[in-house]
Amino acid sequence: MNITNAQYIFDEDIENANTAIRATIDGVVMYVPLKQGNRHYAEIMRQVEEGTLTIAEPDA
Amino acid sequence: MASNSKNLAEMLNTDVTVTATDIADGAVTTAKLADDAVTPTKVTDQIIGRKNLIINGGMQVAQRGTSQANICTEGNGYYTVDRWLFAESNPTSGFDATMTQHKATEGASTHRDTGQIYSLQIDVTTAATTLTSGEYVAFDQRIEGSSLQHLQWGTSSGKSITLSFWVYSQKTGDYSLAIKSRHNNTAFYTANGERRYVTKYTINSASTWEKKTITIPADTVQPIMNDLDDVDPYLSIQFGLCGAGTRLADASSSYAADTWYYDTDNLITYTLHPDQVNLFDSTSNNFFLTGVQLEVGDTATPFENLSYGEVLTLCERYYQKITPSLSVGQIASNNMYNTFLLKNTMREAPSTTLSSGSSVLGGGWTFNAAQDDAIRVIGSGGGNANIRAIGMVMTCDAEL
Repeated sequence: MNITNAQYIFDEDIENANTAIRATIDGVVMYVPLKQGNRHYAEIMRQVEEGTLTIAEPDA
Repeated sequence: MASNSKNLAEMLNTDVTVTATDIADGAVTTAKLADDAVTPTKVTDQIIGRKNLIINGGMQVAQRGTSQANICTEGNGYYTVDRWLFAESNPTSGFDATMTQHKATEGASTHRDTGQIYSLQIDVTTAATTLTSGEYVAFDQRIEGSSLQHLQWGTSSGKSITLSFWVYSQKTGDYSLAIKSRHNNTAFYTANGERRYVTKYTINSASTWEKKTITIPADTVQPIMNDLDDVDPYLSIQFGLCGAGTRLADASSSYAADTWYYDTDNLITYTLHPDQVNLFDSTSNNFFLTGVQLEVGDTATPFENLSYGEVLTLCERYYQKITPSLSVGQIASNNMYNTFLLKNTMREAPSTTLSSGSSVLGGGWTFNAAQDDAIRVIGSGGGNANIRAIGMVMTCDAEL
């Protein structure tokens, strides 16, 4: 998967925590849940561990 | 001799009991059985309940669309027909194809011969007569591990499986079929690779629908699921279309065809049979597939036909497309929360996309899809008094 522009989404009203990652995956903007069983999340974390992708902090 | 003895016994009015040895092989035909003589205990599990482990084997559901051009350029992904994943190696030889949910016309051979209206079509649009080592193209279906526990793989009681399907191509010759078992523990998977069984079938006649049946022995080494719960394990049924070099199983190594092995080499090699033809050597070539059925045991039975609604429901565990409309006034800088229940509970919390709607105004939209049965949509006012999104299309992807 070609993954770019990964950034955490912060839910300030209900969860008060990061709840998803917004990323462009193979040219499509996707909202990816923080679940290991989700194939996009698993691939994002694999690329992060590999050092080829960085997830930006959420917007203030 | 036995029947003569029985006749004599009957004449003497003594023993008239018929034993199994009195009946010649093949003497009891289906026509001689009373309608109520066959009870469920005499029927294998194969034909009771839902027997086909493949979803959408008749190719009738295509939520993402019916045609996708230049799939080799687009890359790996789910296009057109639901549950069927296009897989490739970013080929550099320049070939390409269009993937289509093909619908047969009335009376066409697709319907007449296979009993199916729809098929998955790969139409070669740009050819390459020579492949570069390492290239491959295939498509496959990944079957969720939780649906496969009755196979008892990883034990000495493991059951074989039988795949049957209809195939059609202008390009005759040998084609690869790979069975790939993905361990559910990422660390184990990374260290040991994927369990694979690579075999082949032959398309004998050009431009003719042929039915193929392949039985795969059980993998008695690796279970499809164990207690190291990490990600969902799956079994992948992969149809090869072309491959070269290190993509081919190699009898001179530990990665030989027709035997189970661990692919420990970066998980990407040895996925095709060494006799695989190159479908992409001519733009005259197409590849059609339909009526795909995978069942327990070593016998292929007739294709299990389900209604469109039944197949769609099965597909929606992995992919859904919904069209919510949102509108709110006077939101200013506050956030608006709205929760949409999904049509069916999905395999896992899905990744979500949003297409622009027919009327979108103000703010921004984000999603919190931490659940497998609902999506929370968050509208940020961004200083706008009103925000709305009408006619937008939301997709939810929980494929394997």
